Formats: sequence, structure tokens, C-alpha cells
Amino acid sequence: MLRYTLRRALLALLVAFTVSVATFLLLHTATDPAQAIAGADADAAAVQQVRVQYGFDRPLAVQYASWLRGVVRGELGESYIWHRQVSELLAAHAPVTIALALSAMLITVVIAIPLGIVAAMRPNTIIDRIALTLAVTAQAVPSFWLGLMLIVLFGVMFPVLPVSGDETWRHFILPAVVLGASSVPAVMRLTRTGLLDVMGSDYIRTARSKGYMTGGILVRHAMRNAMLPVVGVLAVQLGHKLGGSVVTESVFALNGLGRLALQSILGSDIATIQMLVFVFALTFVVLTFLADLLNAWLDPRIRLA
Amino acid sequence: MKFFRIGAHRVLAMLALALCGGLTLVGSPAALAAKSDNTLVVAFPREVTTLDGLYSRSRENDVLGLLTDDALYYVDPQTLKAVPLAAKAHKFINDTTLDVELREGIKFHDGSEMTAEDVAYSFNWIVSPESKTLFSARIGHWLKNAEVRGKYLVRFNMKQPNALVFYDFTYYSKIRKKGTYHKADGSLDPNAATRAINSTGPYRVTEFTADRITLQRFKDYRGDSAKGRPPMERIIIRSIPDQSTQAAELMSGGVHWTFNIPTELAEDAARGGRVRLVHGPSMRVEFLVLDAAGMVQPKGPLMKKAVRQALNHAIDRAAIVKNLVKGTSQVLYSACNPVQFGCAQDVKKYDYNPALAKKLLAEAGYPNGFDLELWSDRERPVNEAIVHQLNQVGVRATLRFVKPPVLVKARNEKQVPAYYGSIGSFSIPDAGAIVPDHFLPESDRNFSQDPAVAKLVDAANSTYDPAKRQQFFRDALRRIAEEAYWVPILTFSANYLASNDVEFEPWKDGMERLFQIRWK
Repeated sequence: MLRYTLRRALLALLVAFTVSVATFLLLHTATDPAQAIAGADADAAAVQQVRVQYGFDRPLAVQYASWLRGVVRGELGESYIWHRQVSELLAAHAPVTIALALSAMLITVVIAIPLGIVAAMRPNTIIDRIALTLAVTAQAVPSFWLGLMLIVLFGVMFPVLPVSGDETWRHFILPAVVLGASSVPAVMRLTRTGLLDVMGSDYIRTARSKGYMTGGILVRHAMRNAMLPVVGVLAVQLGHKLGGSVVTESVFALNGLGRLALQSILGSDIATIQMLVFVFALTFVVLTFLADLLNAWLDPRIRLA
Repeated sequence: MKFFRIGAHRVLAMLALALCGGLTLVGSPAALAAKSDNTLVVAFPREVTTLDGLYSRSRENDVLGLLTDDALYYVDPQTLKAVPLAAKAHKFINDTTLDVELREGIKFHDGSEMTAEDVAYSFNWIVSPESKTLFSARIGHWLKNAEVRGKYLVRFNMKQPNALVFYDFTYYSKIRKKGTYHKADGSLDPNAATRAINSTGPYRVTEFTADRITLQRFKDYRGDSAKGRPPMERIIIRSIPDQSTQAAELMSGGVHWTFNIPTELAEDAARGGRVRLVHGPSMRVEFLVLDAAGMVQPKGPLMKKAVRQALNHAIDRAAIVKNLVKGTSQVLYSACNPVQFGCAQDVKKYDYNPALAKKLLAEAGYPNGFDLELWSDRERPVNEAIVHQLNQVGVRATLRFVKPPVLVKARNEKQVPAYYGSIGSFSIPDAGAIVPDHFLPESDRNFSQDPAVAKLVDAANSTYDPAKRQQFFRDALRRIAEEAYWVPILTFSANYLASNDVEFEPWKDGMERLFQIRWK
């Protein structure tokens, strides 16, 4: 297990390093950070001064090595835009994204799994069709559109919820619904498919022949196996949400990591972008690793393999 | 694996707890601001990342700076002249030596008095290379140093005459308390005023978070200021990036005022009558810059004057203004905003004449047109209209729409044969704030490299005589238009959305002076 964990940790570092090199090169080849800092209207002299002051006139390899040295020493660097340590910025924005991601996941789980179960228990009936239609519709609706519609409905026509900001828990309701809805189709369909497969298995027939009630079979036997692919998808979905939901955070003016990433990219704030990419990559790797462990718990065959 | 044996209900409970924990991390509810407690709430599209305007060139910081900082001079919104603010009077000793007398009794937000020591310190900080301010190059271009000549007298020793010196005293410079950027141990801290600022403006900052700034009216602010006495007790600035959400907040009463809303969206929002759409002038002008010097395409078609003139005739600017930009937008003919001093309008004007455009192209040797990649980073609908109209006369134009940093880099690396330019001149009402940046030889934006124009522009910015400056600019602008170095397109329209509770007049220079907004 230790060997497996170490291998995954090394892989995570490798992924993060590769992504950071690619990001660094892309930023420097596609944009001019000095101009971004000096401002679009800045004259050539001002831009050149910034270039020298911030060391952008040095070779790219030297700049990257300098950044990497800092990271190894625990210095994540300073944001050119916010004039603050990147670690401070991450700490300030992460709580909003974590709260949003967890709220959204809760909504996904609460809607998608029961819907998938109902659809699987009554396959090819009107209930199944309705559930599938809901899933397909939710998949087809773009997040920004759904967000704006909810704002119009609950912020303007019936002003019962705040539409922007992140001061209270009420501010998270609409964005969590938008973000959660985007994951419902995948989770619901996987739950349905998984359950349908499992319910046709020999051991379920055996359980039925022993006189178990359907509900008991579902909870004690079927769900455990049907959840294997769902856990993997939930981990990836949570990774997406923790990786910053740029659109949702922008529409609802939530000051999370997604908005921080967007502003950093537009401002070519290399130090911040580098760390965000690193954190996002690491989040994915850690979550998929946790999903593997959870699957091992759910299915003993995995941990014995 | 025993520890994994927990029930599904526990997993859900943990998730809910984590959710509650996450929400707790976010912070406590803020008080809802309103007219009843004399608090104006405004929305900015971009986050203010620093309180120190010396380290940001964003429009948001310009607007904030007018609230928190009093510079030496101030652009009067009625006359558009630079009038004394923290300064009382000035006297030129010679062309490169300027004495500025300060007003007495100006207080910093910490209660201390502003003196010549603070002003000299601030300007010397700006021009010092280690300050890393974004205005070091601009101010350092003409300022050698500032010296204290008395408690309220500062001498500015200049490297060269600068016709825009008083405008440079308005937005490009801020006055800080002496020692602000120097720590007790002698080391420097350029970030000293990033999170907390001690200045002399009509409002002091009481809260600065990632998406909110709360400003309190400064009780010791002097009544005789050129800015006047601000009516609002508090101003809250919220950062709301999505413009549709801004409009929704206005309609639901959460915000009283916002700016820079696209016309279509602003019209939709105002249709219900819950909010007001106010169109105002803007200093921003938009134009096409053409590779007239052949720096991108040596011997390319844009090097021919007839081709550039054809492009000028090919674009129906009046239709673009009327149907797309609307508001106060006007067709542009000169390479500057008509409200700017020196922006001559008696230049060659190109009417919309596609037939003439085709004829000029044929005469220039391009009867079947040519390929043209137009780069742009803003106003997509306008650019699409331009591309379509160019196609109509046979120019096979395509639009390359990119993010601003990408365009800037490509332009500086001479990969852009033509681009859609947009300049707000920092709201400076003087042609000297836009023309030199596009026609002096050292500028990356100079696609014409015409020494005759450069000479005239340089002369205009090096003399203090208004009549001479006007003449130099007139000659330069007439040549620019005659040679069709640009395709001037339009002046921009500033769109403001305001709640029905607030009253304000749009500003002639488009610079948002929030301290003038009052309740109805």
C-alpha cells in the first residue's frame, strides 16, 4: 500500500511539473507579462521598464529555474497583480471554492443517485423516461445560461435570494444548484446503468430467492457494487469543481479559485497561474487516489488484486 | 481496511458537516447598504487588486484613486482644464524648473498635515528605479527630481519641457506620507500601501477585501477642494465580473450604479423601468492601425497610400455607430478624440464610398483585392462588421480575435498587419495623451514611422505655448489623415446603469467621479 501511495505521489508531482512547464511556456510565448502588468494603454518605455524590473528580460529557462527554486524553498512567489504572496491569495480564495464545490456535490448526490435508483428500478417505464429526459436536459443546458435564468427568477422577478457575492450561506444556493446540476446527468446515468447491471446478477437472484425484500437487496447488495463507477465519476466531478468553476464563480461574483485563475490568466500573472495549475493538478491526482481507496473498500476484489 | 467500514449515512453526514464548515470559512454576513444610511453601492467589473494606484493602471484604480487620493492637480469635469487641487499655485522658473506652492492645512487620513516633504518624497519615489511603480517611466521621462523649497513649496527639476506636466500631476502621480515605502530598518517596501492606504482624498478606506471596498467620508476633508464636499457618507465598491449579474443586482436593488455596460444589455436592463440607462461621452476612441511602414509585410499592399485610403472609404462608420455602438458614439475622423485639446477636425474626411474604394484598389494594382488579417481584442460585433464591409469591396479580410496580452505581444513582435486599436488616453483631454504613443519612432504602436509626423508631435509636446501646440498637432493630424495611416472608426459611448434613487451627470471626459453622485 505504501509503495502504491508513493508511486501515486511521484506521479502527481510529475504531472504537476509537466503542467507547470507547459503553462509557463504557453504564457511566455503567447503573451507579454510586462505589457500585461504595465497595462494595455502603457507606452513602450513603461513596458520596457517593467520588463527589466520584474526580470522578464532574462532567458526563459533562468526565469523558470528561479521560480522553481522558490517553490522548493516554500516560497510560492508574489503576485504581480495583487502585490501579495501567492500563498496568501490561495488561502483567501480557496474557502469559497471549497464551500461551493461541496454544496454542489451535495446537490448532485441528493438529486442524481435517487433519480438513478428510481430509473433503474423501473426500467423503460414513464418514470425512467422522465428521469432520462431530465438528465439529458440538464446536460444540454449551459451553466452560464442556467445561472442567469436563476438570477432573473430568484433575484429579479421573485427577489428571495442574493444573486452575487459570497457573504452568507444564502449566496451559495443558486451557484451550488447551477454547478451541481451540471454533474447530475453523468452520475444519474451511471447509477442507473450500474444498478441495472447488478440487479441482473446471479447473486441478486439468489438473494431474491432467499426472500429478501427489494429494498434490502438494493441497500445491502446492489448499491455497493453499482457505486463503483459512480465513486470514480464523483471524484472527477469534485476535482472539476475544486479546480475552480470559472463560469459559475464569475456569473455569481464568487471570489473563489476559478475567478482568481481567470483574472491571473488575463493579467498574465505567472506566479499565481503556476501555483493554481499545480494545486489543480494535485487536487485531481489526490481525488482519484482517494476514489481508488474508496473503491477498494467497496469491492474487496480490488484490494486483493 | 477496517476503518473504511462506515455506513452510507455517515458519509452523507460528513459531507454535510464539511459543507457547513466550508460555509463558515467564507465569512459573516455584511450589512445591507442603502439610501437610508447614506451608503452608495457601486459595482466594478474587475477586482481592485491594490489600493495603491501607483501600482495599477486599471480603470477601477483610476476611479478609486479619485476617491482616496488628492493629487496636486485635478481635471475639472466642466472645463476639462487641470486645476489646482492639493496645489495652490505654480510658477515656471524656466522651461525645466517648476515651483508648485501647496495648500496649507491638507490632512492625511491619519490626521497629520501634508507638507512639501511628503510631495517631494512621493515624486522622488515614483521616479526611483527601485519603486517599481507603473508610472516611473512616464514621470521619469521628464522629471529629474523634486526638492523641498519651503514647508509648502516644492521645486520640480525637469529633464525636458513637458506640455502635459499638469495632467501628469492629476492621474499619474499620488501623494504619500513621507517614509511610506521605507521600513524602519531602511529597506524598501513597494507594497506598503497595497492593503492600507494613508492619503488625502475625500474618502478613506475602512475595509478592503477580495471583492469589496468600503469607503468612509473623510471628516477632515476641506470644504474648499476643487472636488467639492462629497454627499455620500459611505461608498461600497463591489466587484461583480459578469455584466448581466451587475444589471440584475441593479434591478433587485443590491447596487445603485455601475458603468461600462454594453449597449444592448443596458437597454434591456433599462426597459422595465427599474433602472436608468445614461449614455455619456468617453475619451476612448477606436480605430484601425495599418502597417503603412511595411514592418510586417515589406512591400505589402498597406504600404500604398491609395490602398489605405480605399480601406477608409470601405467602412460605413456611421452605420456602425448608429446600429452597434449607439449612445453618444460618433464617427471619428482624426487620430484623437475631438474633445481633446489640439485634436484638429479640419482633416481629410473619408466618406463611405465602396465604389471609390474598389476604384482606388484597382488603381493601386489590387483589382481583385488582397488578403488581410485584422487583429482585435475587443468590440467583436464592430470588428465583424468591419471585416464584412472590407469583404464587400474585395479585400479578403479575416478577423483574428484574441485576448489583449496576445494582441500586444504579436503587435510588438511585428506579426500584426492591421489591428483594431482602442485608447482611452487616461481620460486626459489633450491630444498629447494619444498621438505621441502612436507616432513617435520608439513606440510599438507606430506602424507608419513617418519622421515628418514624429517631428511635429515631438514639437507639440515640448512647448508650453497653446497656440503653437495646436498648430503642431493640426499639421500632424492633417498629414496622418491625408496619408490614411489609420482608419479612424468611432468615439466610444460610456453606458452607465443607475438606480432611480441616484442622480448624476455623465462626465465630459468619461472619468467616473463617484464623489459627485448624490441621492435624488
